[in-house]
Amino acid sequence: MTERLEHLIAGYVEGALSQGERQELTRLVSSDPQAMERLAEQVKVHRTLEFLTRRTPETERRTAMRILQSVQAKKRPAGRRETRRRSSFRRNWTWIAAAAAIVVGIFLYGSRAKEERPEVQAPPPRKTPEAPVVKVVPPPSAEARIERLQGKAFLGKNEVAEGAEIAPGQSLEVAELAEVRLSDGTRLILGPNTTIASLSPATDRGRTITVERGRVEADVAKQPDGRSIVFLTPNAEARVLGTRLALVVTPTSSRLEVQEGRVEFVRLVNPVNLIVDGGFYAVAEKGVPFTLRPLGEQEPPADPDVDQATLDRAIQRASGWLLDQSNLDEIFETDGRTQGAPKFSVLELAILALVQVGFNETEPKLKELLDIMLNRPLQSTYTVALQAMALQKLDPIQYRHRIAQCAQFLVDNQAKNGQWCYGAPTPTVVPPGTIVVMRDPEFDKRPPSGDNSNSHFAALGLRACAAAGIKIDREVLELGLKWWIESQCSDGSWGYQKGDGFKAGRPKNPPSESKPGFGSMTVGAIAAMCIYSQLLDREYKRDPSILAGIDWTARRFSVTQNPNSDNWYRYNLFGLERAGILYGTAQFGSNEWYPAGANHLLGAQRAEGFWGRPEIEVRSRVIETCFAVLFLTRATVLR
Amino acid sequence: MIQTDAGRRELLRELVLTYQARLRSYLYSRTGNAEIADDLAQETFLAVFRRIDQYDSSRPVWPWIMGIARNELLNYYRAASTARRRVDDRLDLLVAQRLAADDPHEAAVESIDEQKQSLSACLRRLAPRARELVTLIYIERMNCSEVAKLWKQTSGAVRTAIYRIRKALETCMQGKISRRVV
Repeated sequence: MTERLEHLIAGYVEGALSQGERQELTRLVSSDPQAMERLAEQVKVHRTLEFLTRRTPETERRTAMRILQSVQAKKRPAGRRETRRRSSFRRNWTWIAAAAAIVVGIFLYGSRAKEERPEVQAPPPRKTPEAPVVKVVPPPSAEARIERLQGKAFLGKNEVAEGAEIAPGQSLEVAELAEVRLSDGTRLILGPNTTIASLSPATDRGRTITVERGRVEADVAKQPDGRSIVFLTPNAEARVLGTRLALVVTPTSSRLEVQEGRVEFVRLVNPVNLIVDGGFYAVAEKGVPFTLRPLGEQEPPADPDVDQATLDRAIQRASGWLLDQSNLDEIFETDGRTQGAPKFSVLELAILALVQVGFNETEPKLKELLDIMLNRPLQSTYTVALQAMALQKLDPIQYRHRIAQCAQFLVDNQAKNGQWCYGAPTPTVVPPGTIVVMRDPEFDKRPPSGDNSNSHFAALGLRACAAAGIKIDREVLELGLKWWIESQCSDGSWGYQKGDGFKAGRPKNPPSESKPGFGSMTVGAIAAMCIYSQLLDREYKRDPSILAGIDWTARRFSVTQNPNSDNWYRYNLFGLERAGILYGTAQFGSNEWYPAGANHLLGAQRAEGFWGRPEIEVRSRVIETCFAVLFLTRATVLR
Repeated sequence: MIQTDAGRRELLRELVLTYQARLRSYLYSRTGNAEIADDLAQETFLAVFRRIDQYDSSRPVWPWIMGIARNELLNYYRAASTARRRVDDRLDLLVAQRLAADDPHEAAVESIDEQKQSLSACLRRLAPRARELVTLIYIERMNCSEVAKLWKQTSGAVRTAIYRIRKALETCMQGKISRRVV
């Protein structure tokens, strides 16, 4: 009986009981107070776990501010409580929350979206048992309904009139104009010659609307926790939480205009993501730069595109050459600062490049390299960060424990000023299953400072850990961001160490007076600042430091040199890729970084498949080839 | 005694910033609905603001806020129980009544950060497989059937496992709280 009771209680908590099971559990808990106690205890701890795992400190702060605003706006004199105060209060709260959302631009997306709560009536994300609610919303009888119609419309092959209901999976073709209301309140205006190929039923994760062609304007109702509406077109997808947008679709092009809120827009050919904020648009079309443009601005002329087949062949040759290299695990670089431990080894970089190309454990050579890597202790910042990136890309669930260990290494090795140096093994034991990684206060090997190159890789590594579901100590992220803000040069660039200080609005120092930064470090800094800002849920699109860095990069843009530096130009290329994707731009100034970099790399590849001069040592050729592959495959993927 | 309106507003601001997360955690654990918990938290702070002149600053403030919150919660349950009379809601009502009977001072005595620390420490004491299950369900938001498929087990076995893990976590976290309180 005990097991049966446990099974029923667990099912109740999950919201997965059948009607019969609910009745059975009702009988049990009504007749047995101990059973009731056990049920209550499970419900409480389940909800506590849900609460503690779904909120970020930033969400908490916002909620606090909303509550404060609501209460202050509602300071009614005592004794004048309306009988229907909850409903009026709820309206007021909704209005204030909506206003606050517009003011501070709080539309979140992707995984962070799970933290937002539904606006008014929406059900919770999972079928958790709820206490009784006052308002009961009947389930919708259909997924959508045509509320207004001009001209003809067809549901499947049948002509329909105003008021027709649309069932899941049905296609809708509109000749002139139709206004469609979805069951969640979302309003769609379908323009002339528009075809919706299908409308998926609403699920726990939201719904998908497949647009074949035409123009769709949407006023999307704010989506409940964890759900989103996805507009899928032949060559792009737009993931929406709640916003006003327009989507113009042809068989070869998708143009997304966002009036309010924020939408994640994914180009499906040469996949890359863009976050489109209110007031901007982007176009997914072959030959058109995939970048944000203010609404009203003309589309740029098509640029020379990179031929995908040529790219694929180049990447295939490069990965073949990498796989043919022996002793990849034996190429180290050491110096006194790491007490004999490798400060850098090409093993992790090569694994990351191969994984990025699409190889996995079924490739014997990669399996062999992986086994070597996983059996080595975690010893230096570069290698640990690269390892976390490779494992997260390969399989974040299978390798989560190792990724958590990488996270602990990085967290424990942050210097006191927010930088990283080469690092040292951490004694902190990370038990399997760890999901939250905090700095170990006992670890006393933290140096006072480090360098910006290690710090840049540490940011990339922490991002990979976070993407694998590891929660990182917020203090570490804040300190990391603070360092980058404070270490910028006055001309907007970053160097290997602290610059002479940048301040928005201050006239730029003449180059001769400023401590110069250089290209690879500047794009590295832009990427790191974007990473920390995204993890801390901080606005970064208009951050003055980042904008100054982008401006500096645009002015000195090069795909054949590392600006202001004599070497590491392919490292600079990889940096351009990271900065471009993480910030969400296809251009630095008027420079399209991907076609420029890819065309240069395609021309510079050796017949054998590698990059670099044939006479240089293998180590350098491997490193150059890995950076080239990571650039060409656009290794950085959002989320 | 707070004399000025500005003083009242400042105190309210401090109370909201300090206690709202803890309060919502408590209300969420009783209602299971984030929207309702947020609504009740607002109602509570509104009541706090109205009675702010009655607040005795020599006494701890959290029990005072919790007392007000509990009243809001009971009002909500009363309204809800008259609004819902469907047979299949009876179980929800029984749970709600049982949770309402809890002494609010026994719950949410820790700040959110403290609760998270306790949870993190308690998770570390679980067996690896158990921690993985917690991760899959509460971080990856999978349900028991999905985990069962992943682990090639029956969903019943997974449900029983998560039931026992929650029980262990509850015992562990309560132990930590009582140690801190003592």
